[in-house]
Amino acid sequence: MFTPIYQGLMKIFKIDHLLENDKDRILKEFEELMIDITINFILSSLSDDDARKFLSLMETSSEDLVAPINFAKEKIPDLEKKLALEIKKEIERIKKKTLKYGRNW
Amino acid sequence: MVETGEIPKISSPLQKKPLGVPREIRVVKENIVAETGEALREKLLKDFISDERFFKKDKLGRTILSAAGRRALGERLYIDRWGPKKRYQEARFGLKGRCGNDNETVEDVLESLREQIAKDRNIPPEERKRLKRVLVFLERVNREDQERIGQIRAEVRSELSLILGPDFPEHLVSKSQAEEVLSLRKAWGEKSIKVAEARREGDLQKVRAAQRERALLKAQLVKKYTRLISEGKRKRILEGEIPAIELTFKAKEVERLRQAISERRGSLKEKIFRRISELFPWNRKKVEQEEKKTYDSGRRRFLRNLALLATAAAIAVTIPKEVTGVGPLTTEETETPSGARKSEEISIEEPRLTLEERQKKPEIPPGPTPVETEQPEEEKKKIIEILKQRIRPEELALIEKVTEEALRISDKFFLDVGGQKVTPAFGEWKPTYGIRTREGKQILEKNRGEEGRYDLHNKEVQEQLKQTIFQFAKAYPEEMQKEINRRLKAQGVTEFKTREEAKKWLEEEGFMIDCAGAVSYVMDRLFKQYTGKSFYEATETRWGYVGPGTFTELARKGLASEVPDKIFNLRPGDVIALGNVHSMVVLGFQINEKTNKAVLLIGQSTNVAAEKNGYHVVAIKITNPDGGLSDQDWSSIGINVRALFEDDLAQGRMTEEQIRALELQGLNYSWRFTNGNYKVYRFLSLFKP
Repeated sequence: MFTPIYQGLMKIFKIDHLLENDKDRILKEFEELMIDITINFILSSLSDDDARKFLSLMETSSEDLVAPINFAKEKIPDLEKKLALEIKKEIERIKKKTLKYGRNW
Repeated sequence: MVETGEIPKISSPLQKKPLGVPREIRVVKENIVAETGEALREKLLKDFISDERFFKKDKLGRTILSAAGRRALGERLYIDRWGPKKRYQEARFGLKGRCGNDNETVEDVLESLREQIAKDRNIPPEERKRLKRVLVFLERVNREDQERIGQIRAEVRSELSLILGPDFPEHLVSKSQAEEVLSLRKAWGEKSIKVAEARREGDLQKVRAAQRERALLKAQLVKKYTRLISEGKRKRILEGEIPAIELTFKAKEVERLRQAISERRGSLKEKIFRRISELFPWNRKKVEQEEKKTYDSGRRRFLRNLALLATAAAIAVTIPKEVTGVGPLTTEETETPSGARKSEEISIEEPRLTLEERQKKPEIPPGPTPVETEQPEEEKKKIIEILKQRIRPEELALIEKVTEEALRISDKFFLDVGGQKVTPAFGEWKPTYGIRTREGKQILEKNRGEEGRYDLHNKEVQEQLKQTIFQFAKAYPEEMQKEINRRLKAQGVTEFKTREEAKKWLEEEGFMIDCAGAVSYVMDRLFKQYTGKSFYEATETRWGYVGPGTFTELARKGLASEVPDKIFNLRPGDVIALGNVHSMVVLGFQINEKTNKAVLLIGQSTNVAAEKNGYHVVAIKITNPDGGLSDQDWSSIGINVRALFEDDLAQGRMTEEQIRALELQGLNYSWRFTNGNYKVYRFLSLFKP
């Protein structure tokens, strides 16, 4: 079952014609990339002390959803919005790179 | 006999007898030349095992492989490894550079190879070995194989002549790819008509025309071939590879995408590691630990939701609808626009008030106020009508009654903490939740390790931390209230000024509730009310041992019936189980004909929505009376997307529709937690399934 997010990604990357397995694999990798972007963005936006605290919060609350994210949200105003812009850039970058020659031969 | 690894010297090119090969192996070899394939191998193995020459007895009388046997086996293994599948490749390998010469047969090649090996004494041993191997395989190639190779060669030639011939369109270097494809299609379309007409002529011509037509229909593939050839990636094109090439090209695109993603991930990984090493400049061990943990699935899991929400926003806001098709609203969604996320009947944070109280106190919802976009009244009326048709009239009164009862029970979770009404925060019986409590912090301080780090891996510390959670996050509100009063009195606290303070105190004292704890409390009270038995007696479970997966397990045992996923099938007291991850309880319906509002009330304890951490009641607006649970308007459950993009809405950068789409996606991402894999179970047999 793909949610609108995944459907959107599939349409952007034009991979909706693929087999389910391939789709899954690519979306999973993309999801991992998104997480990497999130970690990178948060770590690079926070000051050194805050970044250390963020990492320690991540450690102490490995099953907790709230603490580190709330901390990051507190320190970086409009975190989601900035992240969204970051991810948008990323999507466009990948698209540019992969669909360079066009899909029709 | 020849030592293994040494190359025999060949004295004459026409020498019939392979040099230095033991007789046994020669026999084997002859067999190979005579036969091929799996059958031969089986036969060989059988022969080998039954051959007494290859075995001997050792001192203890055990049968072991003799030296001759080992050699023969070595030869056989060699055959196994380079079986018939590899033979073509080897044959081609041997034919490399000779493909153009049609008259050259495999025998010719074989002969020349033999000569080469024999004449040239300066061939280095490795090269000689390779040539020898080629020779051996070419010896095994039978007549059929030779024919096949010749056929392939002919096919390659015909394909090449088609591509390089004058008939091949000259559009290949045109500007636009799209134009090019169109024009190619057109040109070939016309030609194929002509070919079809030509087919009416004599038999010979008919065959030729059919061939031509087929070639023309493969237009795009042929074009692909030229591209391949020009890139030098593939020297030969075989007839049988056409579908394979099609697939290869699809796979290639995917591969490029995957490569781009993994390259990007690699560079991000470097960045992250660089940043981490900046953070802990003198502690190499710490840096290594942190680097390792960044890619630890447990840690990444909770950043995933944030990343997905941002992705949803990126798709919906920044990429036009024409590209994604899902960014802004689809037509279906526009038909039922309903941005309003709160109903009048229920407050999320406060206990329900009577009508009189409500009139006195205007309700202030927590967090930023959402922009209300009302559903048309007529539509609401229609929904209520449909719902009333679907639900049996005799059940309506009972539903109302049980809903009242369930809400009364649910209100018990609003604890009186120093004059403030608050619900306990979400927590589980896990050491990580013990860290939040005051006692837990003290325990951690006491057990600091030598490097000054918290010793979380110590099992004793973990046990102590668990104990700081009051009744392991499964306590009944009545018990909690009793304990709260006692502790407040002992600490000399009389009142809290704000609700936040009270909530913070509650969490620090370890009063938490987990999802199954909340559900089982509501269920227990309903069971006592309507059956006289407790929930635990009725289901033969024990207090404190009910988790989200328990409900599924009980249903499997036949203690609950599964309710078909239609909104009008749900009744108060039904349990919604999201796999082993989460559970919620249906508190009931509120269908108000005066205000034209239909909502489904659900009680749950979760920390997914940061603003509503802990137990809360969710009012799900019924927008699709014939749909299932996930088809309804769940926007009140997720993260407040509307507040996030308030500025953009005000300044016209985003439309109401886009925000609505985001809200729906936010909902979907939380449901995706279990891939939408939810089940509804009915334990209370008040209502017929």
